[in-house]
Amino acid sequence: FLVSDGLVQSCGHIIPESPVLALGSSFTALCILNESCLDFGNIYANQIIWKIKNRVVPKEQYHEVNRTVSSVTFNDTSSLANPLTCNVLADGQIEQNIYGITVTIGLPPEKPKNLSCIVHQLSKLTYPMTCTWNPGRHTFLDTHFRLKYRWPQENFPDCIPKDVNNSCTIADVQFFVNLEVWVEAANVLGRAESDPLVLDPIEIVKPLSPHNLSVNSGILPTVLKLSWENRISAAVMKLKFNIRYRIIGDTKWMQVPPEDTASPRTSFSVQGLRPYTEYVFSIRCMKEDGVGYWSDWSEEKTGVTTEDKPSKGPPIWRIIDASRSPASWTVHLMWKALEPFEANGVILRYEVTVRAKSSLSGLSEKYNVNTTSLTLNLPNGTYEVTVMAHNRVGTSPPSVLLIPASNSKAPVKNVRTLPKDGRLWVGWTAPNTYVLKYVIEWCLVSNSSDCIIEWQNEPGNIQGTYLKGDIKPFKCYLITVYPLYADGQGSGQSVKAYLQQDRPSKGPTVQTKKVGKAEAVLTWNHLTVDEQNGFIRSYTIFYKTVDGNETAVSVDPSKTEYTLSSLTSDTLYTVRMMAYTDEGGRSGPDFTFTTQKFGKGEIEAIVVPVCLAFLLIVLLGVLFCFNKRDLIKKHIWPIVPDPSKSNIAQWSPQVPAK
Amino acid sequence: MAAADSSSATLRRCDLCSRGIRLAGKMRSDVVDLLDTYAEQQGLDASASVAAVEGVPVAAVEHWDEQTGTQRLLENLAAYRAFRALLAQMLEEQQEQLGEADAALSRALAAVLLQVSAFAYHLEELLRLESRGPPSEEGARPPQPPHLGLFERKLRGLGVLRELAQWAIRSARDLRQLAKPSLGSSSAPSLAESP
Repeated sequence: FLVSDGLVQSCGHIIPESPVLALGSSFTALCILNESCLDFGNIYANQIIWKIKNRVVPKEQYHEVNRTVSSVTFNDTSSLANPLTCNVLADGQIEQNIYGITVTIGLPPEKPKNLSCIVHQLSKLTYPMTCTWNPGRHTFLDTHFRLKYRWPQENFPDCIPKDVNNSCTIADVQFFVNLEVWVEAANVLGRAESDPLVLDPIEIVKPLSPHNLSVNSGILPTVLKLSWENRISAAVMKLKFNIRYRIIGDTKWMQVPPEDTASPRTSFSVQGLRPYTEYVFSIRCMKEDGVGYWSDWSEEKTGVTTEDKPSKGPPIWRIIDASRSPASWTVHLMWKALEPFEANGVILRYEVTVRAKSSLSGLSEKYNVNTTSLTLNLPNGTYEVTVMAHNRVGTSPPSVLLIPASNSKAPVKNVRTLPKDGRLWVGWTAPNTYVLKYVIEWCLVSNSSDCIIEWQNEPGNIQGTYLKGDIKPFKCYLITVYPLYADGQGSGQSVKAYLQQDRPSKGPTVQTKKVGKAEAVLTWNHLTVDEQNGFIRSYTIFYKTVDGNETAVSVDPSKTEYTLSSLTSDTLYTVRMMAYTDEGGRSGPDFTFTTQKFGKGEIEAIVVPVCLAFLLIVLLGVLFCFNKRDLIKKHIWPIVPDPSKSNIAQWSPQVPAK
Repeated sequence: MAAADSSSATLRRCDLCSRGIRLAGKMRSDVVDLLDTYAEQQGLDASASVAAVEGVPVAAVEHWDEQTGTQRLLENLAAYRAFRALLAQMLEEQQEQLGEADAALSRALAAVLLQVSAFAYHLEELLRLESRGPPSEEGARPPQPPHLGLFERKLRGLGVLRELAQWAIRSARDLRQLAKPSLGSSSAPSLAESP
């Protein structure tokens, strides 16, 4: 560099200084040396070396324009990088930098596409319009977008997007005049315009949803009246509506037929609803001719229809307990509470009428209860029981149950069950006469609790049904089917059933009743129904000695005793029992016993002869001894002479003189 | 060719008429709202009677049903051009007088002015379809407003808006007359085209 007057002057400069180039285009830069620079050290244009970053640009791309100007050409900007420097080999072969530039490479904007606009109603008087478009490919440069719009005779200020490049919102638009809208994209390399959109903003409006929705119940229990306020004035646009509703707690919406709400209105009566049910309503609107967009659904509002009288009487059944005396029954009447869609309101009481059909007077007793059962003591006979449910509005149709004195009519046949899909199916063969309906009773059989009866009605024309209610697996149910006729009842036919069987939870505890030398009588108790978990199909007894193989014996499930035979005597045996259902078996605890060493009577057979023999020997011995008693006597106690009879005894002593 | 022209002209006419009617309806509704706001802001009684204001075209006309289509269009156009100037003046005075204090009123006035402008344009287009062409606006400079005091200016503004509301009703009826197929049109004699 030259130093003159304290200022540093560069030896040359490059033009263009800070170009912006389109990707893929060609580019030529010129390095122009100052005249004053040439005076120092023989610097000429042909000594100029161009460099990109620190790589030398090939000399083929250079062109010496004149003594002081060198140019470099790039056919494709993709080989360019920053910085591009103009350098020269000065005296002493030192490369010196003269000037450098930075190049910006980008693309001109693409034509914006897919321009679309929508007017969102913000308030009763404010209608901003939002337009969106596809801005096209990335340009690598600062590209500005403007949304332009005008009337044929009036121009409006451009809409400039904030923070985004693909949408813009105009604060307020006028209706009924065609608006021409288009997008202009511009950067240093060029500009592009989208195709214009010509529209009347009234055709792209998304109105605010109606508000202040209120729901009123009227006189009819199947009707609710909706009223609301529209937030768009009739001068701007006439509206059509969609009304949707659902029962509270339900997820499925029902819609009022759109044809019925296709015109301007501020109220509507929805019909065909269920009495005494809470409904949720919501409404939305759009331009009456269908041009534009639907508003959002309004806030939900609930209403309850008024009550109506119950539509059906409750189904009735009875349990008769004749155990106290056959002439007097304890009749336990029971009926099922009505479903909400049959009750149509709050059931306040049930009216039960019991009429004795067998008596000629036809006297009947009325009872009013607010539970679903009634227990009466009645003398044996035929009765007609009628139950009616009352709510605030009225009375249900009567439900009738005939209780005949005896279940003498034809019963069903061939009751069978089949578990299917987690439910228990019960089937039967209908009797030949016309059946009014069937009643199916079932209860859970268990040792630890009573068999509480559940029941259901079935129409008279079917021969099978699924049990409603919670049927648990691995539990035994007793199922009874009764046919009901117009003038009597058939006796109940029962069957036991399992929804799903399992292996027993315990095995039978086996013990010996009597153990012999080569046999043992085993005994056990049947498993309780709670332990069985299924129908016991068979028992198997396993027995073995300490070091022997296990032997298995099958036993009929009805038995509680079994005799093992051909056992070895005086051996320790271990025995256990397995009970099997269709799903498997379980073993009970082991029991050990030892077979007797001697059989029955064996001991006597040995001891008695031994004793007898002993006795005989003793007897013989005694006899022998008796015979030879003298000899024995002689040996055993020899005769000892009596000293008193001895000579010396007779010798009278003369005392020798002293 | 001619038939196509004629039918597209008819369609365009229909479109301009129907949108003009709706615009007139909206304009009236907006002006009525604006009247209330204006009266309140200016501290006037909305029902105050205002004598006929100089320079404001009067909507009432005798023998309305005897007018031809062209006459209707010309009268309407003259009226709305006048209103455009009057409202622009009012807007200027408004901004001078109240400054930034009442932006809502200014915005509402500006919106009505835009609609008046748009309606004038509709009328010009309809006149072009009549092969009449709208009269130029050159000579039609608004008469210099008489120098009025503040209160009188406020009353004048009220009168302008009231008359504009009346014009909106009249314009809607005029356009409905125009839209009827046979009546009221004194366009170029229909060409004998149907083969």
